[in-house]
Amino acid sequence: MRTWIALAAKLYPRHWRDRYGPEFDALIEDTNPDWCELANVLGGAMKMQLKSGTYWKLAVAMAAAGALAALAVSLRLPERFMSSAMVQVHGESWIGVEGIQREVLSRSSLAELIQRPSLDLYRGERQWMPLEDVIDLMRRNVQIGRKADGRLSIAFIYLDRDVARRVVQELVTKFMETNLAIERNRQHVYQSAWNEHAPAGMVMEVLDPPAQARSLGAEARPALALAGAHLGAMLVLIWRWPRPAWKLAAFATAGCLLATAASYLIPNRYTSTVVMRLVPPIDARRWTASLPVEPFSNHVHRIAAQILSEDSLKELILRPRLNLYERERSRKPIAEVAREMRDQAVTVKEHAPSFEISFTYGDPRIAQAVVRELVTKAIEGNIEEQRNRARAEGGQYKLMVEYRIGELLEVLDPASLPMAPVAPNRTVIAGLGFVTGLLLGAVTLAIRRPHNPSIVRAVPAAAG
Amino acid sequence: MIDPTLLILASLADGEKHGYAMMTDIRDFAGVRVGAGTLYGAITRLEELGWISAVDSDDRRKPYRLTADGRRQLEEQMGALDRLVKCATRRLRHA
Repeated sequence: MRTWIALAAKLYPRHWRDRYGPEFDALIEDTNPDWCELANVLGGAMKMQLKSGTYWKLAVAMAAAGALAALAVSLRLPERFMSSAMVQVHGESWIGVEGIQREVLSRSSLAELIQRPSLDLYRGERQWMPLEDVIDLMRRNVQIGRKADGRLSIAFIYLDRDVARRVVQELVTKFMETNLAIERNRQHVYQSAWNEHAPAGMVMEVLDPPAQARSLGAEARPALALAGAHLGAMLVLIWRWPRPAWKLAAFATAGCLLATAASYLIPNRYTSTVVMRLVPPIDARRWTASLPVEPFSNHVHRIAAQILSEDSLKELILRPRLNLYERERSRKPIAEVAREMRDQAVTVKEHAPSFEISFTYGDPRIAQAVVRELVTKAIEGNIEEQRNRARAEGGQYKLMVEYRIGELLEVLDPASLPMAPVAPNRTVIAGLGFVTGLLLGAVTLAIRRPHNPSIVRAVPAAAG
Repeated sequence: MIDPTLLILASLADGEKHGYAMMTDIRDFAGVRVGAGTLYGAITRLEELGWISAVDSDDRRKPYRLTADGRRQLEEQMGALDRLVKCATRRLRHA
């Protein structure tokens, strides 16, 4: 211990050691050294370095300590592994690779993988997180990338090396099986409708099978060490802050805490989302010779206009089971409430060949029920439209509607039951509180005069 | 709670002392254990302020003594503390 303290004493500035070094070493020899003494000497050395203005040395030392601490922490953190596979895609698909990807990463598909007993993914997380959030977590850990030459890379990151590889294997299988099922169905209905074999569709083959998962921790360690070094150096700089800076920080923290507390007075809002797929006619080439296929974007806009028309929304708002916006209806005409619902609460996002419909409301179950009603309206509207068109045009179109091979609207991911609120955004509110506190602190410090120090603290604080 | 500079001034009030003697003296009269880092931080500060000065010595253990300024500061501090103690005691009696 005496050796450690002697080493710690070497951290004092050179000019200080020239003046006090011998007597300080003599004092250390006289004392009974322990861990407290070591901490005290280290603290004294740091303060003296800061006081003497050579704090850059301390910053370097703290940066090194921060890097070491970050490395130590990274070694203690659970290791994560990434496995990947490569698939070659030939030809074009009925719904495209994006469509298959959406199907493979749909809630139902991932929920099945997560809960499969042989994989039993995210067992710990499932004990405290809703399944919806676990699915989102898994989606973030799945990486699918498309290369220019038609190759598709599928990767998964997980805590277990072997499980990561098996999950990639399952994802690749799901891609292949989904494509095969779609092609088989297409062949079947094509043959039934046109009485001939369908032209070849998309074929997928595995180029590189799922590789042994590699450790991500080892790759991340240099960045972690750098972050630790940065933090260590920053701590020294923060320590050098003058007293007004600490007061400003206190104001900002108080503002942040107050704003966060106030945000809990704002009622929560929940968003339910459905993902739907617009399936093109099964034989667009033959069909488009006489009837052009409507562009995806136009079709989605038409569906949105239909389900979000004023009459449609009025009917939803007044439906007794939903009874939406009761308070707003007592203050405004129903038409205005319907317009606000369309403009502020409902969103339609396109990701060809699928699209999302979302609805935000104060009650998560009602949000989900409204999205289900919107889906029903969209599907009913599409069927009605196809029947009318078949009646009007007859011929091939009538045959396609009869065999359900016209433009179909399918639900890919049913309306979710939102668990976490989407509003108020407490992070933004806390940030605004922080900035407001900072500004208030600056104003207060600018107009307030320094008061006389306490009589007891008249002796300037010692460096120790 | 008590500023180490005040403890050092009080310790040197009855004569010159080196670091270890101050440390044991403070432990005896105030019941406070002052670490080596804290002690020499305070000694550095007090010497800069001119309230204590080193006594010439051949020994590595260099003694320190109070200067006239240091004595005046100690008396002022003691006066302030005395007023504080009296006020607090009176208030406690009437509470």
